[in-house]
Amino acid sequence: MEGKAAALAFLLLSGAHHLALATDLPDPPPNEREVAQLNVTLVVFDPGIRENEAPDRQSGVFPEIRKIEARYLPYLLRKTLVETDEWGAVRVVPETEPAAELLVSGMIAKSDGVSLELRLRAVDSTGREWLNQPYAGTAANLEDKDETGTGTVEPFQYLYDRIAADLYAARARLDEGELSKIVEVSLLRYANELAPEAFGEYLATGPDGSLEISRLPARGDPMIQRVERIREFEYLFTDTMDEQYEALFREIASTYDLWRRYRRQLARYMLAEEQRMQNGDSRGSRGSYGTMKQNYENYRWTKIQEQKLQKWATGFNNEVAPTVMELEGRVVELKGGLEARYDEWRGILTSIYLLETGE
Amino acid sequence: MILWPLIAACSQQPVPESMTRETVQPARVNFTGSWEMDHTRSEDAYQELKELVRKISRASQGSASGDSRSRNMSVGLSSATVETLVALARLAEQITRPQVLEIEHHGREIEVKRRDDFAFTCDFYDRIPEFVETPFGTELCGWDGHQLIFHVSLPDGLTVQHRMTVAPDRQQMHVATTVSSTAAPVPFTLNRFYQRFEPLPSEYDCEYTLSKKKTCTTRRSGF
Repeated sequence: MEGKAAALAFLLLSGAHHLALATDLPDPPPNEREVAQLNVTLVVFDPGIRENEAPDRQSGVFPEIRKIEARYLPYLLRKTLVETDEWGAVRVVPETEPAAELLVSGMIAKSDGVSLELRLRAVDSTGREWLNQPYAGTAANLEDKDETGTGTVEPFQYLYDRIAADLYAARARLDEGELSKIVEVSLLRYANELAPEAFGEYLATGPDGSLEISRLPARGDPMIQRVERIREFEYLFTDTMDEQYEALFREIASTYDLWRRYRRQLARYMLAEEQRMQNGDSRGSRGSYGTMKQNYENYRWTKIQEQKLQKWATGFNNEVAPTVMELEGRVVELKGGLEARYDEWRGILTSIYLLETGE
Repeated sequence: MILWPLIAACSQQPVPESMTRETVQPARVNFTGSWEMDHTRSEDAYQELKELVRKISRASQGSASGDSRSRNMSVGLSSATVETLVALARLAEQITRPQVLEIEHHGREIEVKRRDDFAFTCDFYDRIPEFVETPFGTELCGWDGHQLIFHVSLPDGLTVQHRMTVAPDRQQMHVATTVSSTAAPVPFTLNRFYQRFEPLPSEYDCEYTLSKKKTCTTRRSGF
């Protein structure tokens, strides 16, 4: 991977390579994956918090932690999908990519350590919706350690497994022709984004709103070959960025687990306390000092726990902030480089197209 | 503003009507600073209780003698009522025990840290009193003129309200804590006064992280 990153850095930073774009970019590796093994693109989740964060804070949401979860949770899903060995490359990207073969986006509706609710949508390059539904559940009752006692166990793994199973089931409903079409449309959409004057007429919107292929480029079409090379280059970039996110994933995993464990312990304690109250344990008569004190102490205890949680949230942020900032800086740097190159590539492809068509 | 009547309905304690209409934070009022209890001016719960019982007894005696001269003059204050008033006073004394308050008041947010107890916090977003429901109580905070109010309604008709006022020179602060119960004929209020003080500058820079907890380093001098 280091070699890849170095190659990418060289290509991004080199001022002269772009003129030789059509010939100097590496050839795409032979596509050995089966047609069913679509590439999956996971977009960093929507954290599900409002611009005015005050109401979210009141309802027990810690916005800064939620923003980190928005990056972290897609990685858990990615890990699950990779482990199934049913898919092509599974990548996490910061922004939506409409040309992706299968694009999965999501919103965190709830995440408090005890419960998790994700609203997920998966759509393929033709616009066909694979799934659009909530996935909600409570943390599995684990001792927070795996069987070997050496690592942490994801308490919501069963939710990610369910999502992976649903994606698999959705794919199983498609035949080989439909799956091939997804790959072709994906490439044509990507080509259309880069050189609309050359590829604008290859796709059309069908009566159901999905994208249809109007015509295919000729076999060995040099323009599509150039687009394929650029796409491979972009994959290289995405994989480099992906490494950054993966580093974040590894670095904050233990802190995040600790945070969720604390929250679960607190929730269990609060539940026990509420049940004790409902059972009316040691309650005196209304107006007695014992009753009043107990009512106030229950409230006071809740406030102390709530503020302890806030302190933990601050501790979590303090711990992961340097990693997140470093990551953001590197992603912005990489993205800036790539966007500048895209502009150049678009210009070059247009020039080449005009030259080749004699327009 | 809309939610306030809900609280008022659950609470026996009178709540300022002005808080329901306009809760704009007064521009000049700022509570920021370190405050230490001024014992010379603060009330003593036991003395206040005695005074309250005496007032109620007088009032009931007067009322009884007005109604019927033959009535026993001490019937106005039953032992149950006295017991409830004692409970209110004890609770008020406990609630107001923190000796030092550290207040951070920035823009629309205020945090009143009370040593050895939980902090009061309030976010005056969009001029609406902040309304928060917790599993064991319903909170409301906001402005009544230049006074800051924290109010909580608890089960069994118990309410606690803190009304904070800062002097114009910002050297003194008054906190009136009122505890009321639907089982008591009147609420119990305890007035505490605080004096501003300047805390000693810390020689350490501390940071709290989840895995290392609190870690401190010696602050470098400016030389």
